[in-house]
Amino acid sequence: MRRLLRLVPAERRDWVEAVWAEAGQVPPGRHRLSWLAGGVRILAHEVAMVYRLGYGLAFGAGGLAILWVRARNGLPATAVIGLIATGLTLAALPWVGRGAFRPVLHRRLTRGVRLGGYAALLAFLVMGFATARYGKVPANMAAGPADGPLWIVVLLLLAAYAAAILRLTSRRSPASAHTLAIGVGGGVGIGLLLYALMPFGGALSITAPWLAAGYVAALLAVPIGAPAVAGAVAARSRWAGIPLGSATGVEFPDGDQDGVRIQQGIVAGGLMGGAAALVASLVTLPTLMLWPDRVAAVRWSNPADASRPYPTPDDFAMSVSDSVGKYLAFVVAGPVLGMVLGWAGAALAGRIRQRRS
Amino acid sequence: MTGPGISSQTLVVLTALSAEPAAWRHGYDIAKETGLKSGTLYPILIRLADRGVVEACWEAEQPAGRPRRHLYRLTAEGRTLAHAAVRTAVDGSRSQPVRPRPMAPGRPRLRPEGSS
Repeated sequence: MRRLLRLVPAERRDWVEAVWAEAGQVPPGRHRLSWLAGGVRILAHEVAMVYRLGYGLAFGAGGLAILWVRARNGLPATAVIGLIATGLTLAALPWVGRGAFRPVLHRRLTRGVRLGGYAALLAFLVMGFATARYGKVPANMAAGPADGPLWIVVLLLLAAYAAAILRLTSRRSPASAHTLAIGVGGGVGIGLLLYALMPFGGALSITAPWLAAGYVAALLAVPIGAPAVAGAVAARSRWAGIPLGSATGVEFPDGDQDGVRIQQGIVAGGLMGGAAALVASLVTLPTLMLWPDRVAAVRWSNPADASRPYPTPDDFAMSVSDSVGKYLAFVVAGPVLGMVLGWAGAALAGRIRQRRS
Repeated sequence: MTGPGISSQTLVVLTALSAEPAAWRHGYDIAKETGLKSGTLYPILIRLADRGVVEACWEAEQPAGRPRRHLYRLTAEGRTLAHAAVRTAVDGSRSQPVRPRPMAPGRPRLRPEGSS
């Protein structure tokens, strides 16, 4: 603790030491622990203030590291520009939209979703940069489309994800806490399940017919069924009408209750689609880079050619590059598909409810 | 720092300090009186000190059996501000009934499932 105290500016140390000095006066047990916990919070806050000043330096160091990685791997300049532009956009978004994105106070769920969501977006961005070296065109092939527009897509995509995360965890969020938990929690689970089903970015080769049939059924049922179920559960939730920003559990003002339930279904489905796509990409892309020879598309990229019986390193690189593109499309389509399926699930749940009542 | 800019918790601290404006108070003493936890009380005291409303110092002499305490009291400016803030709050609570926090417009209220 003393070491941490050194990180606090001298003029602020008195305040942290004051809490420590008083702790002996507080009755031992729960009360003293609570008092000391408050001291730790103040210390953490003051240290964080110092670190905020250090962010500028950290960003500069990060920039130098990017240039070094680029020089070592011969990455195109567009990848570096794209990475920096997207990173700056993500960093500036909470500040630019601070009116609309003001966070809900004192809720672990929203803080966790904000922190986890932003960490996932940054990891996705770094992953995109790392996979850029697979996109290099072999010397014996014609140049493909420039990757500048691709980085613009990545920038817009991640900015849209960041804005959605910030809005859905803000005081004006259209989601209830239950919807947020179902969408994000379920999405992470579905993303991991999709990874288990397709660890190398393509369908596994299964020889047993009944097992293969079950595998195909799971591949179709999981991404289609899960957002629909999430939409139905969120819409039927008894807490569907309590806005996230309500500290008192007060419901949305009077109006169309069916509309709110449908809205919760759409949000839950979209969140699940987005979270699943991000998580599946974040675990699959490193797997592809670690074991490029296991990527299923290798067979496609190296058709039966008597002169090239074995895949070349360029074939592997192209396979990985194709799979990366596929996952980028997945991240684009995931939330949209999730919203449509969430809407369908919520509408179906509403009809069933009406028939029963 | 006056009027609507003061939170209810800050007002409680100002009220406690203005009860004996000339006396030096220590943090635990204020915490006991206000019911605030250290993690809430000290950030308020830090803000008030930054704005010149509160002055702070360490006890001059080392007491036996316990560490020296950090002490706080209102500055001259702080006394004026605290007096005005407390009076505004009292007047406000007399003239305005307590209302629930307004919610975002255009959002429907739900009835429990199954009710029509």
